[in-house]
Amino acid sequence: MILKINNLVKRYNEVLAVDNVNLFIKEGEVYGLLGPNGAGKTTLINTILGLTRYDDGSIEIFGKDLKKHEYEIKKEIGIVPQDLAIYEDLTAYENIAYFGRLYGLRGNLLKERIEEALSFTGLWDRRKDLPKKFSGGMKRRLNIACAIMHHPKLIIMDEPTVGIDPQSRKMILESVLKLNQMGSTIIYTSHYMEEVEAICSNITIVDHGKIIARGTKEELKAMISFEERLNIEVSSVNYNLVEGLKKMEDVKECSLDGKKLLIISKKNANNLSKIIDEIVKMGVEIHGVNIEKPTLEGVFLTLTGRSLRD
Amino acid sequence: MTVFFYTIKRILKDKGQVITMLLVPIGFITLMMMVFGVQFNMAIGIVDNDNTELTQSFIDSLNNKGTIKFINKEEIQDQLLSGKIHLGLVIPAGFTKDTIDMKNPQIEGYSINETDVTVPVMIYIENFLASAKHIAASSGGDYNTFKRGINDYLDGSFIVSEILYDVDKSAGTTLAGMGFLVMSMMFFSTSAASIIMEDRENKTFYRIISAPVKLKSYMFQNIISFLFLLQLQIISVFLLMKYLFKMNMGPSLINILIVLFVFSVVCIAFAIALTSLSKNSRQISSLSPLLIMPMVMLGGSFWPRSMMPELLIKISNLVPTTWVLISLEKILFGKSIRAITTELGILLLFSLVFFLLGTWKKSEIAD
Repeated sequence: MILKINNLVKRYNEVLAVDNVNLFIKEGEVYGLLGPNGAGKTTLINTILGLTRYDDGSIEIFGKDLKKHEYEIKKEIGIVPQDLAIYEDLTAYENIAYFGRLYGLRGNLLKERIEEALSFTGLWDRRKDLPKKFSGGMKRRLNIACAIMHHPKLIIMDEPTVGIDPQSRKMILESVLKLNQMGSTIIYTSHYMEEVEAICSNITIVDHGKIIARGTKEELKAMISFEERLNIEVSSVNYNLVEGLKKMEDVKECSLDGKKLLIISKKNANNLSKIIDEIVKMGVEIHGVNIEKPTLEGVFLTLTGRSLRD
Repeated sequence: MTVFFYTIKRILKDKGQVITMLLVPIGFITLMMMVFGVQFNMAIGIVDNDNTELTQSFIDSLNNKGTIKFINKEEIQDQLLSGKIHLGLVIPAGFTKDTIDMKNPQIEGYSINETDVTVPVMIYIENFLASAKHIAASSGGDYNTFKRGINDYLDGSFIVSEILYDVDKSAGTTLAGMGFLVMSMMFFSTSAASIIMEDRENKTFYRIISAPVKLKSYMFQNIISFLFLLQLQIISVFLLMKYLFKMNMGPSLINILIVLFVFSVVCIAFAIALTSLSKNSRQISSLSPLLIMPMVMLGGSFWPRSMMPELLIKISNLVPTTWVLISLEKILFGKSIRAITTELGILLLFSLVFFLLGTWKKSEIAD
């Protein structure tokens, strides 16, 4: 285990920000940490970084107790904060050099690592430019370059793709996987569920300071007793059809939204052909059929009662 | 020392900071020299009731300190009030004899509230009296030996027992220049220290403190970088004052540097307190002139404190600028560093209070 958190508790006066959290992350994982705003993700990350004191529990990183070996541990961690943490008045090269020096890099090794980090994030040609001349995506990439130049064993990425263009997002996601292949363990938080689905092997969902679910994507999706949802686009509105569908066996609910029928059936009802027959029988033309599959967004919504972007 | 070097680099890359650090004091001093560059000609009214060769030599020696006018004692008050003279001196009858007999005679001096312009002359007279006393002691009561000694002294051929600083009028101008330097130091330190607030605002503080850097080390390195830049500011302004404007930098440049170094510590402590108690960098930039300008005005950066009403003079004792300017005045006019230990102690006390204010508001690092 690269990170072991046991029974972690953090209070802000009467508010329980982290409530008895247990978290175990294996070396080599890309671990997704999900939760709505105010769920306690940031507090959890700050305690891992030693920036927030915790009231109870223990944190072990790289097999060492955080309280006893904080500075030793910090040398091996890279942080990509949600907010851009770069100096606008220093060039891209100077920014990375500054943070590299803070991690003890000097001389030729420092130069090599700066070049490596800038090339990795596609910014080598812009190394002499000030970040104020950069696009949002380039700034995000510089934000990452500053976090990885010291080859950390554990990289914490807190919303690294907020507010950027699809091309930069794709590049960042590819770089996350590349960093993982190069040996870094990654803790990844995002509001974009598709990103988490695409790159994370294990996921933990946090809400109100508690871990409410954890597992692989498949395990999480299987956790919810999700109904089968059908979206059928029809040529005309027919209320008799809606009533007829409602009366069908295994159909739990049927509603009409404009010219779209939303039909919720019991799990494993396998009644798609029967529903289509019923619609055709009523003389209504079908323009499209969409079968909704369980998604992480759905899991999240079911477990927290909130959308991830709320 | 990464934070130290990069803080200096960032400050020197910022045009606004460089303007506050160098152009503001240089601009103010240049302006002052353009407006007040012409030497002030002091009128000295003299009543010589002894009228001997010694008193004549003494009066002649005052010629290069101002314009001499011979008047009656009764005229002194009116002439001072009407501004016809700035200093009235009364040499008592028997002054020469009493000096030779080592009876410690005094020359009476009259001025309005001992304005700064008269200070150099008063110090000169004090030195003259002390020297005359020493020469009298050495001459063993012999008039001719005493006279020769005094003439040699007035010619500058020898210096008696103590090293006497030849005060001249330009020391007052230098002090005025120092007033602008003191003001600029305060403004620059708050402007430089706002870099700590900027680090918090642009979240680089979060990244720095997530690295293996202790909070104390981060603060310490920032403080010594500000201290270093303040010394750079002082030296740059000194070079300008000494070599471009040929100002009189007093008998001991080292002592002036010691005073200004202590004041640098006060400036940084004040800036740290202001940074710590402010919510954001905008608040710092709006609060700093509101706090600094009254301090420099009360402290005597723009005009002598003696010109202010009694109440304001009392209030001015509560600001550090008063004590640094008092110290600088004493050093410029020939006093030793020992003579200003109280002032330096008060300045250090100010820095302690400001540092305590700066560290009083504690919060989680990540906040």
